[in-house]
Amino acid sequence: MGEKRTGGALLVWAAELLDLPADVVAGLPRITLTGSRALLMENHRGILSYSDREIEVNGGPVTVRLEGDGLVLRAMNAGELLITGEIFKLEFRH
Amino acid sequence: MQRIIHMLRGKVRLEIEGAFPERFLNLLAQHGVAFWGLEWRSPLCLRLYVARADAKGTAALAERAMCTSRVLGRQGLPFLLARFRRRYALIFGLLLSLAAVLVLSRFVLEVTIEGNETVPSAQIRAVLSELGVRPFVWGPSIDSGQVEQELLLRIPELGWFAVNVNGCRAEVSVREREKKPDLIDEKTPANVVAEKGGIVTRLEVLEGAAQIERGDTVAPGDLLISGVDDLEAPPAQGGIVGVRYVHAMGRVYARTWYTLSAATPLDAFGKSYTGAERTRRSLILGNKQINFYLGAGISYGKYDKIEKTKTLVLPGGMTLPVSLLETTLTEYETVPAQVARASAEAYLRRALEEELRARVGEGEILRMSVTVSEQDGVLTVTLLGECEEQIGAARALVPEEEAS
Repeated sequence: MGEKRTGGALLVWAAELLDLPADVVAGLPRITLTGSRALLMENHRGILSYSDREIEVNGGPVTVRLEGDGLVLRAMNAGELLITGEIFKLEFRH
Repeated sequence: MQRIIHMLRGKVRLEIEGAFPERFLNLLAQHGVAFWGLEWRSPLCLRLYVARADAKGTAALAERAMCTSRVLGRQGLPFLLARFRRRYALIFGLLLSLAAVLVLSRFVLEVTIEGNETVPSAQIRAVLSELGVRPFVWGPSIDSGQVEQELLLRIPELGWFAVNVNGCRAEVSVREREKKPDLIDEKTPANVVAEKGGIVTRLEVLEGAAQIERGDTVAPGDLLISGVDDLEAPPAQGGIVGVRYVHAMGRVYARTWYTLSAATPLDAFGKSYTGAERTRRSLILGNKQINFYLGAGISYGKYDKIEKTKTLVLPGGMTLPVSLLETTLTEYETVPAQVARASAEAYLRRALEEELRARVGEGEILRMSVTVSEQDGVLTVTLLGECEEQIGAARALVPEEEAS
C-alpha cells in the first residue's frame, strides 16, 4: 500500500477494492474475443496504427496491440470497434 | 438487407491519403460517422464507403487528420434520381403517362352482363346504352341508382339489377323475375268442349257432368263436360231439385285423324358462283365504323354476303370495344337445277311429321302413312296420321244464358 499511485491506477485499485466494474469506474477497455477470429473492444480511444498484419488500439490506460493475418476493421464508432481476421497475438502495453 | 439500405440511402467511395490515415478513422468514429468496406491500399492510403448524408462532412474531417480526401464514386438511388433532375421531358412524359393511366382507366371499355336467362343480353345492352352505360363512357359519371331504376322500369321481366363500375369494366348483374304460375280460375263456371273431332277413348272427369261416353264420336265444339251440374234430390224423393254451376275440369282423350299434304316443284334454281369475290375490311371502335375501302357500291347482280367479326381480347380475357369486320361478297348466278326426287320427298316427309307433332298437343301419334304423287313437275306428299290426344278445353259459360 506504500507505493505511489497515479489517478488512473488509483481508480483501478479502488474499483477492485470495492468490487466495482473497472471498465465503468476507471474507463478501462472491455475486450471480447471470439475464438481467434474476432475482437470486439469497447471504451477504446482510437486507432494508433493499422495494417492487415498489425493493429494498435488506444485503450486509455493501456494500449492493445494485435498481430495476425488478414486483419480488418469491420466497424467502428466512438466507443466500440470490431476487428476480424486471424489473430495470433494480443499484447498489452502500459 | 444492409446492402439494400445502403443502395437506397446512397453511398460514396472515398480515398484518404495522408501520414496517419487511422486518425481519420478515429475522427469518423468520434463524430458518429458510420463507415464500411474499409480497404488499406498502403500504410498511407485507405478506401472506404460512407453514407451519402455523411459524405459532406468527411472532407473537413480529413483535413483535421491532415489527410487528403478524394471521391472515387457515388452509388445508390439518390444519385440515380439526381441524374434525371434536368431531364424535364422525361419527367413530363412520366407524369403524363401516370395521368393517362389514372384517367383513361376510368373510361368504360367493356360492359359485361351476367345472370340473364330469358331476356336477351342484346336487349339489356341496348337499354343500357340509352341510359349511358356503354363503351367509352366516363365511368364515374354513371349513376348506378338511376340506371337501376330506369332499367327495371323499361324491362319489366327483370326483378333485380346492379351496375358495378370496376376500372374500365362495367359489370352488370341482373336477376329475372319469377313468372307467376298459371292459376286455374276455379270460380268461373266453365264447360269443357272439344277442340278437335274424334272418337273418345278415355274420359277423366274431375268436376262437372260428363256429356259423352267412351266410344262416342265428337265434332269440334261439342260439349264434353258440362259446367252445369244437376243437384239431385235425396233418393227417397227422387228427381232433380236444381242446378249448380261449376268450373268443369277433366281430360278427354280421343282418337283423331289428320291429313296433311305438302308440295314442291322439282324444277328449281340453284346458285352458280362466278368466281368474282370482293373482301372489305372495316374497324369498329365502339359504335363507330371506319371503312378501309372506297365506294360502297356493289356491281354484282346477286351475291352472298358473309360477315366475320374479330374482336380484340386481352390475354386476361377482357374484351375491348375494338373489332375488325371482314365482309366477303361472292357473286353468283341463278341456274335452273333439277331437285333430286328422293331428297325432296324426304324433306317434305320430315316437314309434315314435324307439323303433325306440333298439332298433336298432349297425346301421341299412333300410326302414320305417306303417299307420294308427282304431277306436272310438282311432287306432292300426303301424310295420314292417326293419333290419340287430349281434345278437351275449358270455355267459360254465362250462367244466365245457360239457364235460359
